[in-house]
Amino acid sequence: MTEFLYPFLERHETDLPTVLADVEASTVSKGADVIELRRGIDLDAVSACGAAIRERLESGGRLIAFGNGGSSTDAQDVVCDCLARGWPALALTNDAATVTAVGNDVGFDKVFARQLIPLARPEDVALAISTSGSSPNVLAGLEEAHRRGLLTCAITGYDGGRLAELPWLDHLFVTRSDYVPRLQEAHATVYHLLLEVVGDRP
Amino acid sequence: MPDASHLARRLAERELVLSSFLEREKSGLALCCHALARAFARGGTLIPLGTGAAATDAAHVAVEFMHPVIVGKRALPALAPANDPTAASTLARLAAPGDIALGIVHGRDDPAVRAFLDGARRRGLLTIALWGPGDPPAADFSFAVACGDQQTVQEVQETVYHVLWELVHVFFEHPGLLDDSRSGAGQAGTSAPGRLRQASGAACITCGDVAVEARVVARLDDGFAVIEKDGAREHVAVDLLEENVAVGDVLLCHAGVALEKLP
Repeated sequence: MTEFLYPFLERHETDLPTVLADVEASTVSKGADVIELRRGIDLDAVSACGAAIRERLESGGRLIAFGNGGSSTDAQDVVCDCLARGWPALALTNDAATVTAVGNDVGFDKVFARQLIPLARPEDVALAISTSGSSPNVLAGLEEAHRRGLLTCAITGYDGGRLAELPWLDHLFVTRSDYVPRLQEAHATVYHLLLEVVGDRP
Repeated sequence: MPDASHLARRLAERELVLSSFLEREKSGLALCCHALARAFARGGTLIPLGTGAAATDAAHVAVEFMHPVIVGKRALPALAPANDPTAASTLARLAAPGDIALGIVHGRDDPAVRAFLDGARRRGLLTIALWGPGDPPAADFSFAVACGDQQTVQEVQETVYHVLWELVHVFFEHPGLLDDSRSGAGQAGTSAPGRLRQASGAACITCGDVAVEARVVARLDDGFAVIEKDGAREHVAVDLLEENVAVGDVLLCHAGVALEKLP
């Protein structure tokens, strides 16, 4: 009777080895999933985008990266790596004061666009990371960057979302998956390979 | 400038590093997920720390647990220290025994993260080290990626912390596995006081931590045994052992689990 109502009372620790074995198998298959997604990266496009970014950086431009949530930390990561290679770079989510001020006073959709208005220069590069491809603040940020003459680059997931509909977007990488953890891991590879093409500052 | 064929080689290297790492560490990762789930079940908070580029991973870990991307998963408490670069103040003023310290290093070493994990260990936190190709500090679980390319290490570690987050929730679907009084974990989160003091120096095969040898004094139902060491007694899970366990046997134990029956 009670087993029916409380199945976990009867299945507890005796299941431990089974659950651990399931978790191990799941871990290995998750690794295979991300390897498969990485094989889908368009390496010619990475090569072309990396070369275009380098051209901007060589002429005095800076890399400006942004995104939401885990993609915001990816944007911060690519900025750290870019700085380590000797190039100027900044991440818009590093400034929580401005993000929350704009979010509170104007609206969250404008947190990146508002920062780009005073910060961005025409020779800069905007790199947006969005798993859905449809975050309004990321789209607004890219639009502002495009208006100001920046090179516009985006890394996204799913089917590209609304980012895939922007005719003026210079470079777009779509990791075709709807599972955020794995596609995010593939995103890290995309921006690491981009920086590999950019190379170190002479 | 690197062309597509160069990039393809770099991808192939990544595949090798990731798949060999997961194959080698899968059992340690599974046990780590279990320990993490038990620590959360007891009310622990996850404190991830990295410096430089690894600080962005620490923030990523925090948001992963705090705001699950999969609708319906419960939010779990996590905070990445900001404006406290070594997390020394966070550890001293905010952390409590039973919390979880996760240190992230992309390269061979990071004195700040090493000190953080050492301090966390002394305070009785569950400690997890995600390390690059160097020797990680003593921790309950350590996962070193033997690769000199820090970007590749970062990518493997991103998979690791995503997997930890994803699979912690598997254990929440098995509430019976979260109960310390039954699962014999001692207090995984209050490692030092809750467990037998280590004496043998034998290494735990799953996490590089020190395991203890102890004698079985009673056999319980449901895959558990009572062990005794230097007068202290504790419950351990013996499910992982394929052999029968009887009173008088000597077991190598770690974190509430018997890993091996010693001859």
